[in-house]
Amino acid sequence: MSGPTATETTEARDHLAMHFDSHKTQFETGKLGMWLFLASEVLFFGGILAAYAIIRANHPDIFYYGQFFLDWKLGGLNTVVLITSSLCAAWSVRCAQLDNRSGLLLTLGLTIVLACAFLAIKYVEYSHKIEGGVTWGSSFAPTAEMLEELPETMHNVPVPQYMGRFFSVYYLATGLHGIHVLIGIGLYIWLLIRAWRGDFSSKYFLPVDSVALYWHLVDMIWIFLFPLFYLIG
Amino acid sequence: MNSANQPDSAWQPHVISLKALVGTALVLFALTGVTVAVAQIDLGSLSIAVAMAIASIKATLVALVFMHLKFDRKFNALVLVGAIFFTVFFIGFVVFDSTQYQPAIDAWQQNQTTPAEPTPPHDKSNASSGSVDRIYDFVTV
Repeated sequence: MSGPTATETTEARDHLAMHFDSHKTQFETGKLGMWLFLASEVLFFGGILAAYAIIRANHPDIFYYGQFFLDWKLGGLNTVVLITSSLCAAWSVRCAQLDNRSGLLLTLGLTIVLACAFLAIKYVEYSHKIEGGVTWGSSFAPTAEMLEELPETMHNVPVPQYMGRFFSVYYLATGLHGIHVLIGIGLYIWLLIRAWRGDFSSKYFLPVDSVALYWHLVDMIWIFLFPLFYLIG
Repeated sequence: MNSANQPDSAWQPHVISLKALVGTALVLFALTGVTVAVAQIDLGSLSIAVAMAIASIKATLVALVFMHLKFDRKFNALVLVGAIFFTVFFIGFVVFDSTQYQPAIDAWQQNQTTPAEPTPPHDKSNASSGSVDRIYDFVTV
């Protein structure tokens, strides 16, 4: 069998870095590199979850009281938004693998739109709280209107001491997660531009796959944060 | 330059089916609903364990299907499982450590809020003596 034609060589060698012998090797190496980074991200949020675990173990009252400041419907909506965006991200990888440029552009765009929707909902939540004086640490000072919004059963319950600590963990965990979403939006805009330029093919879709892996991890982290903060029960 | 036995054109990376993707997303929506529903039931100390169990199932689905681990080299899955294992180990140890020493911290805080006599004013000209006093207070507990 004769080797690849000149055109095949050029196209197949497109985006093949010189230190890799084949697209397969490049892809699998790049993917492993991305997984090693994701492992560090897991430990990153693990540290924050350790703070959650300690503070909750030592102050369960502030967690019970704190949940009434959070709207589980908005949290649930955010979960649905992120799961849908993960679906779009995985779909974008499939489109890239099948040389489906229009599908790729559509799914990348949808992922960005849904990610922005997540941040918009987050903005609504945060702004309402910050206006109501529900902030972190010792600056926690809820206004009378904010306390009125709590359920009837909680109106006569005094605000626990160290209540601010719950919101320190809340803003730290969800805020850092939100920053990760923002970074993801930046990465997806970069991918969208590259896809528009026709950079990706069934032989070279590693960037789409890698950013999708990052995005799925961001989704996974929210899957844990949602019940931990919004569904304390 | 291709040192592998196969020509580059023979590489057929696994493409996941649309059915698997949409199906997984639907299961994830359903499990989100289950999480919310179960949170309404008062399970006491079990509620966090149940919530984390459902979240783990969701995370496993995301990892296996969306993140392609089911069809990838096993080592990638090992990296994720290893990271999660060390996170759980880390959190477990830290909580254990913290609950061991919390009574001492609580006792110290009690000591701070109900002093037996007014503490003498700190000498502001010598800043370091203030911190030494605080360390000494902690040790006397």
